[in-house]
Amino acid sequence: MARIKLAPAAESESAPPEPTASPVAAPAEVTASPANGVDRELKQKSGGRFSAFAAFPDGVSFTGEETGENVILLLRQHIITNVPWILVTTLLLLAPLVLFPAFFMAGIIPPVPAGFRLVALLFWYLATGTYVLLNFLYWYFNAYLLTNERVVDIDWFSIIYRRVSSAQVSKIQDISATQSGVVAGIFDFGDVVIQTAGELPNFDFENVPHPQLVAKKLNEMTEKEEKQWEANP
Amino acid sequence: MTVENIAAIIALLNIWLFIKLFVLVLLFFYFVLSLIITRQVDLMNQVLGTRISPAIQTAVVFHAIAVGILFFLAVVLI
Repeated sequence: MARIKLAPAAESESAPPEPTASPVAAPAEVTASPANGVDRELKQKSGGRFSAFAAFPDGVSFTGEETGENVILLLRQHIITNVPWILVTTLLLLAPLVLFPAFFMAGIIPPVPAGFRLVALLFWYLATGTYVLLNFLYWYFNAYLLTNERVVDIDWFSIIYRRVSSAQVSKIQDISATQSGVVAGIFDFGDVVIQTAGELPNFDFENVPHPQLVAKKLNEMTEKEEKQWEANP
Repeated sequence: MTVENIAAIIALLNIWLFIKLFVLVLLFFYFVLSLIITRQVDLMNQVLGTRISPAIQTAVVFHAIAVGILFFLAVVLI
């Protein structure tokens, strides 16, 4: 288990620009500006429309979005976390081709009318499609957003229950990135835990890609926010 | 045809009628579920809108239509 804890914003001013053990070093020409360096790194790792890691995505809007608020990061659980239900889907798709003929031949399932068999087969594949659809929706809409003003956590616990929590960047007190396990290490995903001030809820970005990079960006934003506050309290 | 045979046929018919009703009720609830999913995806898209939101909405509507067609197929074929 590799746990990398970033220093809080107030303590990290004397720290070198990259306090984390980031696997990708920033290019030499951009190290002069840490903000550009992190942003460039984010863009390099950013994926497509179905990506779990989208930096500065276009066309993203969310509930409660304020004027002038820009989405910096749109995160979801790493795509590898979908493997279990994809495997189940593969088995469900293969079952009518392999298992059902075997059951009929063995006499486990009694002979049924052709119409009933057709409806049962269609139902099976459609139900498999629903299973895929629900799992995809659950993955796609359980998102974490990092904007230039706050962090937003959108949770769908089921198809009918959701929770949207957010906290201003200025309320962030501590950020830690955690990677545990071989699979998480290979595919570079883990948890980012954000502790906030007061009674605000803490945020746990679970299984997000490049957790150290996300934590680094958050740390950079809190530093910037603190400097702004010191200059203009 | 003996009385026993007639009773057996009636019992068989009743079993199929029961199965047919069960399947139709199941599919009806499945259709309701697909409509709930359609509505919820609309809400989900309002909470988090992306460029592929219309495509997701379309896919979910097609899914609901497919379940509806399956329901009517079951009414006709079973």
